[in-house]
Amino acid sequence: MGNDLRFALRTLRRTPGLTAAASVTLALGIGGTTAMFSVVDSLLLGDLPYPDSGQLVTLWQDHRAVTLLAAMGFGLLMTCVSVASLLLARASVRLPEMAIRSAVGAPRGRLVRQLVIESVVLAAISGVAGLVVALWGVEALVALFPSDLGSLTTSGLNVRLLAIAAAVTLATGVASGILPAAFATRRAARLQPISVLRSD
Amino acid sequence: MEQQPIIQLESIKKVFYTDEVETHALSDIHLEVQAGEYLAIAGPSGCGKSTLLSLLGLLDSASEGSYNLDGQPVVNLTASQRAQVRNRQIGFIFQAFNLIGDLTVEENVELPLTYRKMPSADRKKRVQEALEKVGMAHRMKHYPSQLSGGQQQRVAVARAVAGEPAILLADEPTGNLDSKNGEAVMELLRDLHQGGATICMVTHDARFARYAERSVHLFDGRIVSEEEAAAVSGEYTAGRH
Repeated sequence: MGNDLRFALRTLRRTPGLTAAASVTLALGIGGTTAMFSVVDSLLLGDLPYPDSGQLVTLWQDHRAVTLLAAMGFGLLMTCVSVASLLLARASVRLPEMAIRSAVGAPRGRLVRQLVIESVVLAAISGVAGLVVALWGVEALVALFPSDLGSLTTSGLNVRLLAIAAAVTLATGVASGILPAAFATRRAARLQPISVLRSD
Repeated sequence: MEQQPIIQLESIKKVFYTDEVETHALSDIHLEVQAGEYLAIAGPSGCGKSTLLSLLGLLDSASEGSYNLDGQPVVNLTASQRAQVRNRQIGFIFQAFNLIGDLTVEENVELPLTYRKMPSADRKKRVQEALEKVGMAHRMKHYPSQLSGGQQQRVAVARAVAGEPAILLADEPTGNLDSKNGEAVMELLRDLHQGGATICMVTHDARFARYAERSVHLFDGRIVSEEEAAAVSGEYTAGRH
């Protein structure tokens, strides 16, 4: 695991263009989703942001929260698809490396693990930037609401927000990495290592 | 009691299918290699020798026939089992070196060992020993791009022997080297063989085939002749050098 982690950091450092493009995409996706979720959490999932919210009763219920969460999920999915396509392009370039690893005895599961670790490391780096985006996003969204909405205006950097950001980051890292990893290792296996390793 | 061959191929056939074309790369191959033997597989380009080596190394599978490696049948193994056999029992040396550019010399040599459950200290010790064996221990922290072709091939040899495999498979190991470095790599393989290693080497060059104890000659996917040491003709030397 330590070797995979070290190699992941080195690979990201050696491909700065791709790392930057993927990080910005992920940071915006993670940050935007976290900010939106934090506000939805305060507005629709937690106590309502009004003074004495316990006095309020529900007369009818609609599915706005579910719709909003689905929209956020879809946005994050789009981010994952964008980053996955970048990682897939990189994985294709790395077929010879996969073939070498396979030739010396790496089972497919280890190759998938290595590529997923790389995407999770990428997502973790982006997650830190995404947290900054999320804080700005929450502030911007809160500014749109009346200032007397108690619990909403106390939103900001808190444990709940950090936990949401961490969960979104991990999910994004795994989701954007696993499909390219599965595809690339399957392709490497189908090609047969020898056809990639032969130079003539 | 007769010693069991480490490699035993019976009636091996390999057919490639592309669209509606069948290409018979190997036909009716019977081959036995004893432990500690140094075998050269020679023949002109396209005769199937690299296909044969990739079957021996479980990098490809035969269309028909049986293959026993160290007494165990290996034709019906799953991909994961084949990877494990490659990791434990086979060391590869390729023409194009095939080192990973983003790994240091030390990490490249350690690579096969990282796919075993082996403590880090043991891995480091094996890597040190392997690199000393090929005279590259002083370049441990370098990257492949910082080495010459001959040095890269030495590192590839170290990677192949670090796991102490049962057999070493070399696919045109001198093909990308000048004659001086080619000779040096061949000397290195001979030293390893004298130390007890079993080696199967593909070559189209009769000069290098002479390093082996025995040569089998392929033509159009069939073994057409077999010769003992120092009896290899120069008929295949025309070509790449």
